[in-house]
Amino acid sequence: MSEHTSRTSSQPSSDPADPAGIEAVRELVEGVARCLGIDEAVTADQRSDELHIAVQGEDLGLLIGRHGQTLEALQHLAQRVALDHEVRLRVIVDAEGYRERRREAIEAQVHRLVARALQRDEPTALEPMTSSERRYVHEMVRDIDGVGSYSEGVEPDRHAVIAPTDKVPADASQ
Amino acid sequence: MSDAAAARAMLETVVKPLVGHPDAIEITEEPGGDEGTVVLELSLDPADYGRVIGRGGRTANAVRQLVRAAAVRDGRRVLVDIVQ
Repeated sequence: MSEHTSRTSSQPSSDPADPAGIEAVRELVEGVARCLGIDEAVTADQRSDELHIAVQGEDLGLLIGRHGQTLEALQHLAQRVALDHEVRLRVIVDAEGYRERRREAIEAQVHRLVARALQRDEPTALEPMTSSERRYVHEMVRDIDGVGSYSEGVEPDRHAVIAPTDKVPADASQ
Repeated sequence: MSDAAAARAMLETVVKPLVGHPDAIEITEEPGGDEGTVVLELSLDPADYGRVIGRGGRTANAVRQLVRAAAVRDGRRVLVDIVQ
């Protein structure tokens, strides 16, 4: 799913967003990359209700940051710029396939910890993650029988917890 | 002469598209308390502070995170002070 296909106009579920708005978001990401000394191509690609902005190339560690914090900050700003331009898409900023690698790592971790939570019949904490990564955990767990998930802790240590359904606190938040 | 050229360029790059009055953006550079620390003071049109700070300060935190990343290239610790 990491290939960048251009399907701006063929998605039935949402209208193509304003090209000028998309370009403003792309330019923000490109400008940030340049400020970090990264002189690589930056592509924008609308997929259904998501806008994927991808920085190509290698050695993008400075753009990603520790635990992906810098990429997450950039994604937040890109989302703000998109909304300012009436681009009502969920903006995803990626660097050298980082999102896909994280997604695979998170999926493996969720499967492992679901098994552990059920086997030990107790809540099991995942590693600290960014808010969009935690959202992905909650979406995954929602489709698995017998367990629920919530988040606890304070940024940057906030993390998802997977628990048997009857052990999810009533006041838990995601 | 700027001690924090990359950080300063980053601050301008990320704030400009967020505000309604880009011409009113002013960035001044002050020495921080510790050696190697630089404070970038950001001043905006009064109507734009809310947009740059964001709900719960989330946008301001994102701006600071990106400026910190750029400051690595300057070899400086850079703080952003949003002066109202």
